[in-house]
Amino acid sequence: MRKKLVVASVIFFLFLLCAGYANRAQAAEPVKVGVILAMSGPLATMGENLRMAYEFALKEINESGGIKSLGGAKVQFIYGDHQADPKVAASEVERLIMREKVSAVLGTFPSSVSYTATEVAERYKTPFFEPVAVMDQITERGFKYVFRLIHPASLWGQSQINFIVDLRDKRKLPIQKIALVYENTDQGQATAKGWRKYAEPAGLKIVLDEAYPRDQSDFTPLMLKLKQAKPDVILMVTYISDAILLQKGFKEHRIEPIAFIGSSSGHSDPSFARQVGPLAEYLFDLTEWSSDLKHNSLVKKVADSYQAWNKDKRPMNGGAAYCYAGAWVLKDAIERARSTKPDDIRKALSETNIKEGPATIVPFSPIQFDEKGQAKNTTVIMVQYRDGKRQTVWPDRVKALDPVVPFPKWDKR
Amino acid sequence: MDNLFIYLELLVNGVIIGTVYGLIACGLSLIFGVGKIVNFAHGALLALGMFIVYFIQRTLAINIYLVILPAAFLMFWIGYGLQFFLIKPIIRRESGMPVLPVILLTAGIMMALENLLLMVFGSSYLTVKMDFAQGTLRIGTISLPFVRLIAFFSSLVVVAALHFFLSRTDLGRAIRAVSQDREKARLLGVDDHKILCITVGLGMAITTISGGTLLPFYYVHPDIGNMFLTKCFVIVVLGGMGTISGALMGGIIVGILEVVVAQVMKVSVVQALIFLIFVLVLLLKPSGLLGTARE
Amino acid sequence: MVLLPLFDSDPYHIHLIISVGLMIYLAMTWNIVGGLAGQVSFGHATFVGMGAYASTLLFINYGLTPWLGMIAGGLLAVVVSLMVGLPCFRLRGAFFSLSTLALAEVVRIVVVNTERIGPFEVRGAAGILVPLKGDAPGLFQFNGKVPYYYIIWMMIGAVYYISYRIKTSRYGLFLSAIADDEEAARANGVNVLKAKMLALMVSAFLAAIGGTFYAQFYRSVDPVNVLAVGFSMEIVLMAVVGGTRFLHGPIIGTLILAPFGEVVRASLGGSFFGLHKIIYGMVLVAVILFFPNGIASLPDLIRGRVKEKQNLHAAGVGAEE
Repeated sequence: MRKKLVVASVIFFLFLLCAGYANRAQAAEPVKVGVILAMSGPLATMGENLRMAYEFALKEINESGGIKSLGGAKVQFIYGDHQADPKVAASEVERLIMREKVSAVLGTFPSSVSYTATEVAERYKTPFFEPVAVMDQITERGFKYVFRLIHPASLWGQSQINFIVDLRDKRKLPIQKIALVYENTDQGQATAKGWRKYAEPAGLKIVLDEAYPRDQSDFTPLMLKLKQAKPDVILMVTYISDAILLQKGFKEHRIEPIAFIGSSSGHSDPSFARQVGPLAEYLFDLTEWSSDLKHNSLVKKVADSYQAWNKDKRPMNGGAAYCYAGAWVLKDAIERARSTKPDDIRKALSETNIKEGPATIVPFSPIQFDEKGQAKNTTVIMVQYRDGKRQTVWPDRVKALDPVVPFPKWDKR
Repeated sequence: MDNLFIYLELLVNGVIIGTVYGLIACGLSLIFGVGKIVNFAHGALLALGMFIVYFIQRTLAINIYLVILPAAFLMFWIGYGLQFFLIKPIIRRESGMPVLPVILLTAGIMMALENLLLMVFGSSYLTVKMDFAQGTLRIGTISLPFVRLIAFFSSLVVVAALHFFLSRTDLGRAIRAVSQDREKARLLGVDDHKILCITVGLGMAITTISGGTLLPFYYVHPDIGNMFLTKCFVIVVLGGMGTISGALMGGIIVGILEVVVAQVMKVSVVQALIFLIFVLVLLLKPSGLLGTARE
Repeated sequence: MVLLPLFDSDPYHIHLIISVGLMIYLAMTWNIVGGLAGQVSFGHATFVGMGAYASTLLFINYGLTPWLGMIAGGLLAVVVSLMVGLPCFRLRGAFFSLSTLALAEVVRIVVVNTERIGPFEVRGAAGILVPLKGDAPGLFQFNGKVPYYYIIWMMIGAVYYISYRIKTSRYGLFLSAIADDEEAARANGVNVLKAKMLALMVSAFLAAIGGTFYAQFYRSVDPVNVLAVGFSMEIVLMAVVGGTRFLHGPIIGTLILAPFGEVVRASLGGSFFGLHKIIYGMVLVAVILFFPNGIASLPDLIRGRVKEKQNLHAAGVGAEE
């Protein structure tokens, strides 16, 4: 009798062991999500920024229990390096979908890369969630599998013009002439087009419209032209390196408009402020996000814990915030889809309606997508460098403090 | 009247930056003039020199101008080694100067070096944080940042020193002998291979000095090699391949052209225009606008 | 090789092979002027770009199928090659190469700064995108990869044949004479300029067709990638490493480097960025130093070495009898 008992218990014990193991194995089946980024090449710095944000979101997602509707399955990111080359991006997205069998892909910038990458995902009927690329056409092709979180490009320039108009009308500043300084790239030329379109109807005169080549070695000619044109506002779209040189040049040549306004390009990168130090003070930058947004207490919490977590102690910037939010939006969709099948996730994405949770650190709410895959009611904000920090000054409903205008003279600081 | 000052400022700036360009091109010109070596890796080596300066300065946190000479010394040996280990074997193999293999060899070095820099330093654009000499000299409406003036004057000093070296010292004379006629120099007892190595090293050192003085008002990045490579070739062709004064003149011409064209036309087409001028000069007067040149 | 798609249906593999195939094709077109005629041009990407832009713009604006558009692209490239060749061929050696580099940059800068030419929207730095028509063989577009696979192999075959016919013709003889010693060739009555020009025109035309393939395969054309000096350098690299004196040189060079580069980039690209390009550069240096005639000359070298040993042996050296 005892022998039978022992045998029975052993078998029972083994059974428990197997059940437990099977259960773990089942729960351990991770949900694979592809992430395409510039991990090397000319945009690697920006790519690294996004990657850290994605990693941070991933950590939070998995530590908070993963995808609960799939038995707590963890999310696993599989990375593809696009090297800022659309050809390479296409190849990488294909690899992620066909080889690695990801259920969805998270996106990247620049827009030219995203444009091609999303097309590949559409062809293979895999949802592509694009948090940061702004090119309009990404969601203008009648695609069903592409979703985009951020404010589309054509509206950014308009926001800047609106800000200028606010300064002129609400704060009674004598602004008539504007100068456009932009890099000779995709983003630069597209932004400039937006400025040209909205400036004239707003009564602003463009006195300088100057594209410069990406590998510019000397900005002195540009400085001299600015000294001659004497604009009231200088609008800029530049990469980090050029932003640094330009800022130094402005000081050296004592160029003092009423306002300098950046366009969420080089001026947004943390290394810009690090490199130029006090020269950045009072510069305005259009951006998609800031850690001092006042519409939501989560903004500060997430920003602080991100900065504490990442190895460079980098503060969270717009791109990072949107990627973080994007990862959570995707997670929410997978939860509601209750499946790792791309089509189910796509359907869940289209039905997104987020009003709370980590994804709401973006400055608009609720998070919903229209039939083109574009997020609805998106907006951008204006920050100003004050005491070395980027602080939100516009629009009024999300601002942290009032802007300082006109730009204080270089000599008097 | 206002316009006059603007053009004056343009001119001054053009001369200043042009002199620095000229010094960078001197390195190239020297190597070509003496060894008939067209070094496609020149830009990448400039980038290497600048990175070395940047790195040492950042690690030791001392004044950047103190770092330049040691870095130049280091680059001298790198250039020497380059000639000794990589280029010399090709020269030995065939009589005369094998143009094609040298182009391809140096192009290969350029590719490898640029990407090595990219891998080691990443693709961030790095600028030097400076507290020294941050002021600007103002004459009327003309602004001349101190760091640019330093670069200008140091370039002049180096060119003068180089000229003195080549004309008054034994080693300099040997170098000139080799540049004029290698065979004859060898017959006269000059170790032409060693001279070539020294020349390449010297060229690298000069280039590093100018690159180092550029850093305070510029940035370093693995890609700047490409940009300066083409600029240097344009300069050397304009001023006359193989002469120092030619490189300097060519540099100043390019410097002035850059600023003036950028003022008169759109900044973005300056490079295209300069290249066109380059090709025109190559076609009409291959010996350059000034000096003598042999192909 | 031809039947590969029947065995391996992994689109990623096929995509890889097609990319490599395109590089082989382009390297061979370069070799017509670089190897057969000995003129090292660093501006080959320009012709590729001409083809890509021309056929795509004609398609966008006039609905002209790229099958015909590529001919137009080819002709455009020929015109450009005349504008480049006539002045530049007067220069020798390194100066020629430099000028091709400079002109290639000019074209790139002009394109980057051009929004439209007449009715054609060039869109400057943004580049242009091939309108997606799904599966449209008549429009040189396919949903799957396999058709592209076969097309590129046919193109490689065609360019190989053309190169072969050129090399074995009397004209080819002139070209190799020029490659060896231009002055001597001229002294012997060869019309050097005409010979070089003809090679360049053929090379340009074929490269442009490759450009159309590029556009139809990758579906996006932008000056940063298609017109870059780096792209030209890669093409030259493939041909030179393989060996420019051999028709199959570019094939071997590309087959050795390109897949390797792709694998390195895919696996180590994140942590060691640019590693594959460093290796490319080092391989080029090594090849120039040790195999000046390219890796394709390896069999000859070995044969030469073996023959040497045989001769020594026959002469009784080292024999212990």
